[in-house]
Amino acid sequence: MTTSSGTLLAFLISRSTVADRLWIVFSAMIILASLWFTGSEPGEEVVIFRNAQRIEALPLDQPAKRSLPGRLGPVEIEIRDGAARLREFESARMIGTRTGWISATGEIAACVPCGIMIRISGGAPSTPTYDAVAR
Amino acid sequence: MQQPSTTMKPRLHPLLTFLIIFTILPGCSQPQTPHTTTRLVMGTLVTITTWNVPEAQERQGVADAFREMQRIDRLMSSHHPQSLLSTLNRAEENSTIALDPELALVIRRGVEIHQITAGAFDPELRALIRLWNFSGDQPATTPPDPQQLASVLKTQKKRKRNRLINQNPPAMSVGTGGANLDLGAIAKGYAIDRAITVLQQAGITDALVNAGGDLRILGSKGEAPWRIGIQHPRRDGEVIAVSEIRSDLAMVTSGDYERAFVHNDRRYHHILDPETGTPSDSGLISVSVQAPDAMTADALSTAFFVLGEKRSLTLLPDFPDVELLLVRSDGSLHRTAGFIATLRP
Repeated sequence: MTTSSGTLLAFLISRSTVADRLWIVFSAMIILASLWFTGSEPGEEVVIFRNAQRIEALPLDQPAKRSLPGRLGPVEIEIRDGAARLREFESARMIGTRTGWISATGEIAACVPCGIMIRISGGAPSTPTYDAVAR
Repeated sequence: MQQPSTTMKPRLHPLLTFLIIFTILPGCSQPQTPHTTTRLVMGTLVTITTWNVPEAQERQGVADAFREMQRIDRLMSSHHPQSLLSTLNRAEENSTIALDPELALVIRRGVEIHQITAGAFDPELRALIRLWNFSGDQPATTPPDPQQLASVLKTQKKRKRNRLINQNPPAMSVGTGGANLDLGAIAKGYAIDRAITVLQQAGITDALVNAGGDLRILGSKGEAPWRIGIQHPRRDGEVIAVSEIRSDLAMVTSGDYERAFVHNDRRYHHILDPETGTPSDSGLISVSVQAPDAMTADALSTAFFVLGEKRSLTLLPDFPDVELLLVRSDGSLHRTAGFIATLRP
């Protein structure tokens, strides 16, 4: 494998002109530049919704705490170490709290009876294993 | 004689450039990704996912679909005192009342399924559902008082049922003790169907509407199917099967794990057997239904859960194009031949 690759490289060098080599370097620079720009991601944030209305977006890279009045009582949203979580105190099923820390784009934590939801957005979309889970 | 060393070398750069561009750049292009919007609607998280739709068209279509689901909720919710259904439930017994055409459509389908399933699905179960209170903002953590339960069940069984008496315009004769309607096990399916219709009217051909795990699929994700996991009834975060779907199909699952409480070491779940007035104990812990529409799938997942395996499979031929995945209480599965899924070990 290495021998055949070396042979191919030697063949290409022997058959190429200076212009060819300059063209290859130029093409490689273009490709690297396009890789750089397509690979960069915008900053991520936590978007907070109350009763289906977007009320605030907070950067995920800055520690923060918010306490919001939910329909059943206060709901706390905490951001730390690039992740966010929602903690309800009066909800019977505590599904939002049980969701725990979320950090990937598209992840959601919600207290449905409180009417409070947070969603991570702004980064490159993650590829979930499933498009939905029937339950 | 030697050839002159100044012979022109063949130019390679056009070939090399094309090789590089066509072998590397396709891998660098941004993959098409689904566009997902989630909102709190109908007391649950509703996610609408679309595939490869221009942004303006997607935004308008999805907003309209959510608005449609909210409209259905205002019409058919038994939680909102101002809903049309709540107004209906306040009507006097034996009175005849005009019905909203959409409400009539859903009630009529509910009555049909009630009759075919020998009462396993019952849209007139409001008093019993309220007594158990699995769905309130502060759900019950203990079963109801046995005497109270016996009284409600007795009234439930003896009451004269509502009667749909007219098609155009639709009307209903209210049964004994009031209409007693709760469409919680069918209206969400109807709302999903309406959302899909609105998306289609917006020219969207590939989409997924997921209302708290009840869903309907439209089209595909380009060359790829939609991948739907089916929740494992006993292991959080795991699936028992994966359905890869690339056509219009609804899928609804009813399980004993969604809303439940434990009292004195006994587990009480939210799927009530209208015959006993208590959580169904049919030997099934999860029922997944695939059907052409979500309204049918929604009602049948409850009905088949209550009926149990043997009676469900006997009744299945009455429902064309409906397929089942049943999970027994010992964890074993039964899948009908046409149910689209790959089982997980």
